[in-house]
Amino acid sequence: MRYRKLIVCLLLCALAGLLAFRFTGGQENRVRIALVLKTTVETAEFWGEVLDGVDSAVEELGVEVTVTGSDSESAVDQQIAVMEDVIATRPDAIILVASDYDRLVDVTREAVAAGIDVITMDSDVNTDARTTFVASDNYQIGRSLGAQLLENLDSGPVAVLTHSTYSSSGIQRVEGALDALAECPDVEVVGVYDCENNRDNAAAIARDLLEEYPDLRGFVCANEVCNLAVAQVLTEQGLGGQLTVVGCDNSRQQIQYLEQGVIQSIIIQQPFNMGYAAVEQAARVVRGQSVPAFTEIPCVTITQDNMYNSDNQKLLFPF
Amino acid sequence: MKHRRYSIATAMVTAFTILIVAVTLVINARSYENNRRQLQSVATDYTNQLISQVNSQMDMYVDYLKDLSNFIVRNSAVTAYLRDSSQQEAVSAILSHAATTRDEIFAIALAAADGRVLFDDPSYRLNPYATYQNAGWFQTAVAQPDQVHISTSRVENLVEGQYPWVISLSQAITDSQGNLLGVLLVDLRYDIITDICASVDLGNRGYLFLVDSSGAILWHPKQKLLNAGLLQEHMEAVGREDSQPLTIDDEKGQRLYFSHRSQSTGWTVVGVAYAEELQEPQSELFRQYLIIDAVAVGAALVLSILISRAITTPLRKLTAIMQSVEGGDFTVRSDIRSGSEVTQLSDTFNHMIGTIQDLMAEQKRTEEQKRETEWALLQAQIKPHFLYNTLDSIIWMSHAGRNEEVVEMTQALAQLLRTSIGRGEDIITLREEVSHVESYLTIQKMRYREKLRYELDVEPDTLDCRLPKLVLQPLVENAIYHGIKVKEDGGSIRVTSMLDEDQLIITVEDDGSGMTPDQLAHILEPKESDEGSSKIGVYNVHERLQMYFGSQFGLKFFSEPDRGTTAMLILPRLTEETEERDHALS
Repeated sequence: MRYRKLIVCLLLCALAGLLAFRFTGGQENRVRIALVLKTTVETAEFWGEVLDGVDSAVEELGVEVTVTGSDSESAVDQQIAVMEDVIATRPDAIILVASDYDRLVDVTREAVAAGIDVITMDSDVNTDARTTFVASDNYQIGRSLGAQLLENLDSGPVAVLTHSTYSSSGIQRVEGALDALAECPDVEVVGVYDCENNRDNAAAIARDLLEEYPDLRGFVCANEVCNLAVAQVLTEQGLGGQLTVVGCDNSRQQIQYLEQGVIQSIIIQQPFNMGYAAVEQAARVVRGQSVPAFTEIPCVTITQDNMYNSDNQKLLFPF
Repeated sequence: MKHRRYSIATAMVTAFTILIVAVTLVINARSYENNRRQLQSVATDYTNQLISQVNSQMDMYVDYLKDLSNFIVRNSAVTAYLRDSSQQEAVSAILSHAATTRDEIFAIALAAADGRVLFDDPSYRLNPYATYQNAGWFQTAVAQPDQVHISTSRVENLVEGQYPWVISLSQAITDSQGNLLGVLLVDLRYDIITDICASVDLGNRGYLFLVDSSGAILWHPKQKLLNAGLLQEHMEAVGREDSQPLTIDDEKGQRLYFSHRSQSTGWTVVGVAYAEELQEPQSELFRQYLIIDAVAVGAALVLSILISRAITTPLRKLTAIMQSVEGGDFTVRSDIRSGSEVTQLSDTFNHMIGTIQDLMAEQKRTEEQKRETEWALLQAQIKPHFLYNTLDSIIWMSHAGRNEEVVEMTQALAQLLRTSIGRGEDIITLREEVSHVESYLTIQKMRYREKLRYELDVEPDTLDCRLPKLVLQPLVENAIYHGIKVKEDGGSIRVTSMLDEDQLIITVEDDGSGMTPDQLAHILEPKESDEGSSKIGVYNVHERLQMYFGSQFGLKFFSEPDRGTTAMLILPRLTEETEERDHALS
């Protein structure tokens, strides 16, 4: 038939038009991201905020994120096993919060070899195989801790408490703090003590130190656990406000100690921003956009005087 | 320029389709545009309404709390308590009663100028580290004592161990001299705003946000992203007082910002609607129009194909029939009966083939007739009887020793035969024809002697005229056999010729027995019998002349009994030149 071609042509055009119309804005393949935390059990407010940031990014950027992790922060072998499982599910990218700076290197390389982009968040791994490291600059946090301590005292023995001598956050914060304190020769650091992120350990260490060094003038605490333990011990012993305590992270108890004057300064990270940025960078990497090797999440110094600023209260008291 | 020829069908289908598509599109486009505008204004109105509802809901709420605050502040027990801590029980009851009226009230606190704080809830303890005298709510209330002040969203740290986000209403309480006694604080849970704002449906992606009188964002669905600096809101939309929304178009899509400011709270409710979602019904409308268009185009296509087929199919059939006629088959007839024009064409065609068929049959018949006539002519020319008689005469004259006469007669016969057979030409000059007749008359003269007299009176200027051969001799023969032979004393024959304008007229007169009117009437009719061969000859001549030259030429007879007969040959004047010209023309 002579017109068959014409008819077929027109019908096809009409059909194509309708289909195009109906299916425009159809779902593109969503970027699949696996988030491997140090632990899914620990319920620190910090990680709750990180996950809030992750959720916001999921909503904003239209990606998919599954969250896994080991049972405790020190279960390095378990985290390696979790990584292996995650690699097997072939996500587009992995956001890793490494519980050990060195021991997660191999599994990170394995993931990258399998074509999965690895982004580290908060705690890095010791390899360039990962695409970017999203974190606050822990060395800078350490330096801020040191600087805040020196704001309140100019001499005397002080102690440094850390949550880990293995993870990069612990290592670098201590390094930064020691460097800052070294600038004031009258301030003597009696030692760096590792509580292995355990509050009881930290409290025991604090008590021992107060006993050993009765003239101790201050504490630098590398994270929330150390900070609370020290504040608690000082309050118990009626020493609140007599020693200078500077710490990291943000919790309700820390805020109360800050109000009471037991803690003089806290350096707070912006965990919400960190979670958001990690997902954002992961999505960028998967889409082939370039990202810097280090994505810094800025920190804020909070003191009793500025804690109820309209900006700071938003950081201290997240919704 | 090359001309492409399209079939009628293609032309019609194309034309119809283009026409219908164009008309459909134009009409639909206009109608769609009208409907779209209407829908858009409905959507805008609806969004505006929604937002002003949120506003009035919030106003109502705040107004209620202001009334509550005023009620407490004017209570004399409250003043008494602030002065000297008396009536604490009663004031506590008032506060607690006021607080229970609304679930959203986190706390009502009466803060005395001297540092005493009384809460509505007896379980609340004052946070000893809260330096509320420095707080904004306290200071603004003190600065403007006769108003109820509304704070922006803030963290309340007045109650020990609790740090809720609240919105605070504060009002100063003074004595009659205007001295400050204290400040009443009503803390409203921030969630109430979330409840009011989040319940408003502005589409899947649309949302509301609330801006306080200082221009700070009081509530936003993505407050955390804003706080984290990961999101910027378009604050330029705030404070626009016209009802037309502000259009923002960036990578997030086109959005409309509707802004309404409340007089009572000083807050501005900003509604953000995605144009795409507002236009959802428009998209649906567009889809419907598209379907209508597609159906119309399809129908147009089908219809135009059907119509064009209805026209072209009979035409194509007719073409096929014409082709078979072209191939030589005149018996076919078209039986098409569709559409008056085509039927008419078909009928005319049938009629035409019929006529052609008749004409061809006629021509065939004429041809046959001509052949028969020619055969008869040949027979008429060399009549066996005439030949026998002549030869007998020659023999008889030879016996009688009339040698001169024998020579003369034989010469004449020879001449006669020569002319009859001729050189195969049909058309000869009158000169030749006359010489033929003369030979014939010579022979007959010798047979009939004194009984036959003849005279050839031919005008010299007619001698070169041309005419079909052997037309004269049958007339002479007819005159001899039917006119003179039967008369006792014989008769005379006179042959004359003359030119009359374009005609050549030859007459053969005799003064023989003549014909009766009845005989005369039938002289030019074909004869079947062999009754008189010369009559066949006469008819034959007439037929031939008419066949050659048409009906106005031929033979005419004039006759009276016992007086004689005149045969008149009327011919066109043909000379050698005219003949050549005719040849050239044909």
